[in-house]
Amino acid sequence: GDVAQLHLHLSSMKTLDAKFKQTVMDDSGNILQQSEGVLAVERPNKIRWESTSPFRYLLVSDGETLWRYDAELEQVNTEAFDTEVAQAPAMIIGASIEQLDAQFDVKLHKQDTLREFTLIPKVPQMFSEMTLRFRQGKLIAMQLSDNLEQRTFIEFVAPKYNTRLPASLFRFDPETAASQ
Amino acid sequence: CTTLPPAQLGESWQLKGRIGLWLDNQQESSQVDWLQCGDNYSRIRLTGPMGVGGAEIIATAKTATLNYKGDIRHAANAEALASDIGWPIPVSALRHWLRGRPAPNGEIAARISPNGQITELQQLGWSLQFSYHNAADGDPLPQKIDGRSDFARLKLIVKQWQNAPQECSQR
Repeated sequence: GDVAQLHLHLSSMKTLDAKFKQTVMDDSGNILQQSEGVLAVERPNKIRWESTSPFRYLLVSDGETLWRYDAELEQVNTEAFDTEVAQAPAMIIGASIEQLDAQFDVKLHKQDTLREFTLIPKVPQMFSEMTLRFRQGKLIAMQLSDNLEQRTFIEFVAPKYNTRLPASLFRFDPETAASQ
Repeated sequence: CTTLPPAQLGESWQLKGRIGLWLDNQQESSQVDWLQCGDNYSRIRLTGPMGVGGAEIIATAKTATLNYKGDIRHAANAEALASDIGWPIPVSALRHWLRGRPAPNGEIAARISPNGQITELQQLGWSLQFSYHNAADGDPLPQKIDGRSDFARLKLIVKQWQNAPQECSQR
């Protein structure tokens, strides 16, 4: 079904390395926040979400430990990794078919080369709906709405798929984080 | 980017900024959007740094409501709801501290700078340090507040102050 189709799309993407543009809007379409940064993901649970503007925020995980670094607030948080804690929408990229099946109702919409999967959480989560957009089998954008009807659009810019990513990308190094 | 505040901020205002909380060994950060309409209406929205995971507390004179992760809860005041979602912050006092003013209840000890701005304040078990936009004249509005209590640390960075007559009239 649609879950299997989604898993096929996700699992064909062992790694993703892209810039992102994120826009958060309220229910009447006013832009609440726009941010940019870089995202790297390696299935199943390695992620680096680094927003560079308007504030520097870094979320990194090697699949065991999750680091969250907020430069402006001078906060470093370390905890054991689990997908719920991660609260990073991009974590969905690493999901297994069991996780997808257990946590979401998935619907596929096809439009020529575009595939759009809508995921509705079965269990209350940080978002009430997520959409993953693929063109020719490549993830190009994500969209989420949460219970305040705020919508988050994440567009991937110049995405690279299935490239080899250095392990150091998925570890938090306090010196380099602070010095940037 | 931080925009300079309006010269005169009335009693219907909106603040946008970032808030960090240190609690035991756990730390949280969030965007904060605080709409205050006079004395009896506060709408506080916390959005995760990833733009996901919104929590909204609406507090009026009589009751407070929390909308978080798809469920709605009510309580007598905003403090109870804020600590429900892991943010045990003194919401009704913070409303005054945000303006660089002490809360109306509870003794205070304060340090005031030569131009009349509160730079340090002890109240309700919190000790707070304020730094202001360098607007020499006009309403002294804090740009950063760093507060500590015996169980938590709170840091607020203000990105934008604005008067909010329309937002307040629409609600």
